[in-house]
Amino acid sequence: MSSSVEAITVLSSDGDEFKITVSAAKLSKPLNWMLEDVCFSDDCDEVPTIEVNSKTLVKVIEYCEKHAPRANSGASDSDAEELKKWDIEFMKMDVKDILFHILMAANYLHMEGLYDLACQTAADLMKGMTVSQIRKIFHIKNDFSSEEQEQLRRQHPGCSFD
Amino acid sequence: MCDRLSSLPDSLLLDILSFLPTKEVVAASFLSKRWRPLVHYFWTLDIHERHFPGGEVFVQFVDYVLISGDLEFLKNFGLNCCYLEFLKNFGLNCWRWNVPNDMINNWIDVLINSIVEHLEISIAPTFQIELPSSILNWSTIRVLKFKGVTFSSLYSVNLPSLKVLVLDMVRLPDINFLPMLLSGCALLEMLVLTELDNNHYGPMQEIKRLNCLVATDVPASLVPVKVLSNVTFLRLQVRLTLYT
Repeated sequence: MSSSVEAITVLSSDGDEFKITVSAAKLSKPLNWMLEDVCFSDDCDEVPTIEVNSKTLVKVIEYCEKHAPRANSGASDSDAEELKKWDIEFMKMDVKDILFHILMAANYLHMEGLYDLACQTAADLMKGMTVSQIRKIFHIKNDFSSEEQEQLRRQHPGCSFD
Repeated sequence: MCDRLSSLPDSLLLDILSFLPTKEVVAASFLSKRWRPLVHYFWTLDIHERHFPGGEVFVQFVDYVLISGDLEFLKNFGLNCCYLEFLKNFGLNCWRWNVPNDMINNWIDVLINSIVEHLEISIAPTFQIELPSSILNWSTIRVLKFKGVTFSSLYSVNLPSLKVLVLDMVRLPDINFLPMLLSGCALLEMLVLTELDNNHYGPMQEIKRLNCLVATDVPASLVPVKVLSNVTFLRLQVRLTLYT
């Protein structure tokens, strides 16, 4: 790859094209390997596909572009503080719709920072909630029979099931 | 509306759960059948010497964990967290550093009063760690695996729930230890005895038949075949002496 290339083009699983800067792509190990292995210069017309849908990929790229300067150069504490606030805002999204796609994408793209952020966000949604509240938030169906629930109650006398 | 969360693979769900306090992890296991088995990862505490830089830290760590009962900080060691009150499986592995015998006795006292069902202790035989006989009077324990330790003389055995017993490189105090031990394990299903240090001679008490036993790997010289009559899986270690 020639060092003059500053951004690469990738395809989402829906077939849409996206541009991502080289420094941002380096946040993902598989993308970084692609940068090393595949020709991304202008005369190479092969565009790699990333198995992430367009809606999710937009968010993933947004995260990468925001975090790339700090990841590549190191930054001051005030920047880190600012970035943390940005992360919280960034994660305010429709849980059922996109959070889990982000989680899967971060896992697939080996992006540790984003993966931990998504896990933390999902866990925060469960924190302090009762079992039935969590079921409601995530649309989890209670598939225990009443006998099974009775047995669980006996096994865990100190726990609440509702 | 579909349940996307539950469709994630185990490893991702466990990573999400690892951000929650253990009590909430236990609550999450009541969500649905999909979530139920995940909690088992959090019920297990396997303290292995490879996680620690030195013997002193290792001993302090185990002591703090078991005596204080506060297991939240285990995450720092790359171990899943667990409250002692939920701990079901406990493993201790130390072959490099000597652990004071009285500390081990204290730890075992704590474990016996917990709801642990599965205990594994593996310590280098050179340290000659002698386990208290209280460990063999434990009504709730289901699986016991010992390696490298020594047992003191037995006065009573009561292991009514024990299903699996594995003794590997274990030193027995006298010839009648084994018959007595097995007499207190009425429900034993699996018995493995390997490289026992049992160099005692003389007449041995008869070993009573173990009616529930289905799998064994034992030296033929120690356990008579008639004791094993119900066994489905049998491996007998036979020592051959060749005369020329």
